[in-house]
Amino acid sequence: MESHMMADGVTLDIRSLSVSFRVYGGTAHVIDDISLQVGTGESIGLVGETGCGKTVTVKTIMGMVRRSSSTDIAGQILFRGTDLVPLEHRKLFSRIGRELSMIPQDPMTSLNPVFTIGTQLKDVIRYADRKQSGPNLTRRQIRERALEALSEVRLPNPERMLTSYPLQLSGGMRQRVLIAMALVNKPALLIADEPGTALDVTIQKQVLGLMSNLISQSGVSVLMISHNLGVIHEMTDRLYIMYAGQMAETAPTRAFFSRPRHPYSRGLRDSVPTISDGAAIAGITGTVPDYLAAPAGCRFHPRCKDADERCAVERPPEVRMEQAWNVRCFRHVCSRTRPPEAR
Amino acid sequence: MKRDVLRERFGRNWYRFRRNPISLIGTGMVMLVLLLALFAPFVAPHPESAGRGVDLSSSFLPPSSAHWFGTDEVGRDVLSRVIFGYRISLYLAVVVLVISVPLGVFLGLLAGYLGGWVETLIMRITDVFLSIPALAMALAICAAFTPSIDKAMLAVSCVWWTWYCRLVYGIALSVKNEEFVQASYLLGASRLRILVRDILPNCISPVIVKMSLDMGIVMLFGAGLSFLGLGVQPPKPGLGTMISYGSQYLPEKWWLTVFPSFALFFLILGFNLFGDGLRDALEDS
Amino acid sequence: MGVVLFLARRLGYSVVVLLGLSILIFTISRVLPGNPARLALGPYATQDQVASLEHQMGLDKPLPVQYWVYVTGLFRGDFGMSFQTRRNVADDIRHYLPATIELVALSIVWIALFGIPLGSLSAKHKDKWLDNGVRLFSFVGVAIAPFVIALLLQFIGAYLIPIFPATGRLGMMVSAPPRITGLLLIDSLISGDMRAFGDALWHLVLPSFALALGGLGQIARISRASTTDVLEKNYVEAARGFGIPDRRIMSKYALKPSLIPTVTVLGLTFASSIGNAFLIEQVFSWPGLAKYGVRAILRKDFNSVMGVVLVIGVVFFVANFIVDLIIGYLDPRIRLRKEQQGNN
Repeated sequence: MESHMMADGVTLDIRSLSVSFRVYGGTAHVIDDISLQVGTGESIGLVGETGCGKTVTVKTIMGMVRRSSSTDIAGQILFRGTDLVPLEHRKLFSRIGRELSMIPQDPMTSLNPVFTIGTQLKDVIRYADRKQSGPNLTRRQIRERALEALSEVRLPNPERMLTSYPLQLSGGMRQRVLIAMALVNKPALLIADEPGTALDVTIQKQVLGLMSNLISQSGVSVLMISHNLGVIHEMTDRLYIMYAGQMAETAPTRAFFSRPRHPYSRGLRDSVPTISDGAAIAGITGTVPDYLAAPAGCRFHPRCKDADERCAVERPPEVRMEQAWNVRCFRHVCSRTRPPEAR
Repeated sequence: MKRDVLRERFGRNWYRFRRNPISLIGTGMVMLVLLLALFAPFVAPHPESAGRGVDLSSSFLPPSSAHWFGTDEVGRDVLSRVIFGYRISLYLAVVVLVISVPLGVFLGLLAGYLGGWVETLIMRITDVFLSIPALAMALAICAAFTPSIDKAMLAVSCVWWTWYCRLVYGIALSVKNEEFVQASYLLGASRLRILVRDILPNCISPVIVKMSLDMGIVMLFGAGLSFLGLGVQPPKPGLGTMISYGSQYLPEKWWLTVFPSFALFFLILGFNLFGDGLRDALEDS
Repeated sequence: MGVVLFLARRLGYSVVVLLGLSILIFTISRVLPGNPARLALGPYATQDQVASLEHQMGLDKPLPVQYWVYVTGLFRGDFGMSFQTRRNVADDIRHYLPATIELVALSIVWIALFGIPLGSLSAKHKDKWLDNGVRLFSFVGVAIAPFVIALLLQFIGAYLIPIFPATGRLGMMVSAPPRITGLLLIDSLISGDMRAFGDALWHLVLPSFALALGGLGQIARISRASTTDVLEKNYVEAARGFGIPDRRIMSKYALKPSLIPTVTVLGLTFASSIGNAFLIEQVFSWPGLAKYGVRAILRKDFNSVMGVVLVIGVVFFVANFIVDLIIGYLDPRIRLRKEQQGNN
């Protein structure tokens, strides 16, 4: 998708990224020519169902997926101007946890059960500190930063938290600890992987509210991965819809929800049950394709009600709808007007 | 898990077992050993060597085409003795398992399903037998008798049943708590019926795996006891006994120790590979 | 203090079990045919001599009385008389036990020192030559009988390349350090006798290695399996995502959780090492409790056998307790759950 330059510049610029894995049965083309930008200070959502390639994208950004004898990566991932894809491991790694950090998905299993919160948090601070030039922080300074980070996420009694074990904490508290660990080194880009998914709804609301505050306070750029449209709606400025390794649509969040253009996007939005609809849930028939033998042309075409012959053969180009809104579809809804439904 | 599900699993597991190279090699080795042991009197070149066949004129001969493994102090053919030694090892392992497995399984089922004072009593007895390491316990029991192969088997069995008891006890406990068992009980099935129909089938696979893995260890135990002088007594050709006896003639008459040692190694390795392959095939969950 | 309570409960339980053990062995030894007094005196003793020794040994009293006498004697430190050595079994035990403790303890050190890192590294470099080598080694190690390993090592280390001594704890030219614990390594360090220390260590190498080899393979295997397991866990991936370097992950964040199953198996390995010590001590003529025990068994010296059995039981209990403590330290979940249970 075309880049949308924000006033202060672009923190993350993914250009035509393709990732494929050579496996036993052949080659799995998991990511197929996607582009994505996160402007400085923006919160971007990356939406798609399980298996669409969001995780692989994130892992590639974080350097957990790299070029190797069985992995091919084409395209660029420009982080603050530097392309991460060909970057030497050590240089890439020096950014992780420091300028670029991630909040893991499941708070219940993402903290090491046999070490205290304090040990883990302090290590995050310590190793980030060592990666940059200048004198290292003293143990006291590290401890102070840790306490500061814990109080920023509104955890009660940070002193006691340092000597506690994850077992002693509830899911919501663990999530806050993880947020603290991700933000403590003041990153430029924060990736949030399915935030709040593993938590109770009420806790989820609290945690997301906290995240929202922290994000706007620090001005960090955010890339939020989710399959939960509600979360995306609340927390992001713009979003990208991903399907089977391809980018289907990108749009400003609020506007998107009233008028999604790509057939898949519409299907997604219609899948969310609301009280006014009664019990009927639209859903999308079919399943995510097998990446070893992905459909030609638009990968969604086998499941698309509006697909025609062209969709099965040609890859649809991006069509720019309006400012910051692109669709990759031959059959998008621009040409057909659609009355807004009562919601 | 219900019986029909288990039957379907059996077919799948057999397929997996066949495809694994380790289990195939192990099976091959085990088959070879079994054949040698079963047909020992026909396969061994000098079957009298296994008993009292003494020929002092050919004592201490190094390996040659006439005696592949050489001869010992009284002229007995080492190869033949090793083949008969396999017989003894297998006999020992089979007897031990035949005694200890049913006993252990029975007591484990009782303890697991009946609970109460029965469970406590059986578990305490198990604890006593496991309070010192197995080999030490087997030795201590051997202390009471004049050394012989039968008493050695008895001693090892006395130790061995405990593991089967604990294994089955654990399974019985976990199955007992499953919903379909509780449902059956409420519907009026007698305890015995539940025991046999629901708990027992779940024990078959782990017990079989354990038995095949145990073969090697039991034979090692037997060889160890014989080595110390408490198991197979001379002139019987127990592998441990032969190694112990041959070790005093090291290094000049090396064949007295090397061949029985290697034969023992082959035996144990074969059963271990077989058991491992079986376990990999059966423990798919 | 939770630990003290834990120890007290375990101790109480273990006493009951050991009593059960003593009843078992006692009954077996007394009930079966074979007159201990006659065995002690030999076939040429007269009936009167046998009878008087029987009376002296208390064999003419009913069985439960004999048992009672024995157990009360235990609490006084009197383990009965050994037929062979003609001294109190307690003295014999005190004399021979340290040698076995040293042997087994050192072998456990080898197992942990080599087995655990080998296993972890195998997990990290899965299916490469190190991993396959270690797996092969552990398969083979488990299949070779311990006494064969001992003979092999003795042959290679003492005859083929004669660097190590074949038997014994200390060379003939070296005098033993003053006896404080009986453990030569400790005693020589305490008295500053480095020559004795070196010599004792040298004598320990072959037997302790022989004892360790079988268990080494097993520990490497479990260490590999549990490290593999841990490396796939979410918290390791999360740690990487937070910028923790790989080095640190292997040496700290992956190691500690992976040690939990490994230490449990190490406890089991300790058990089989005590058993195998009987075999190793025989091959190396190691003057330890196990060798003493085997002699006692062959000569039907029942008091000695009982003494050895009970002492082994105690040693085993101590070892298991230490293992549980270590696991409690490694895994805070166990500690915390116990505390919660304690409060209920």
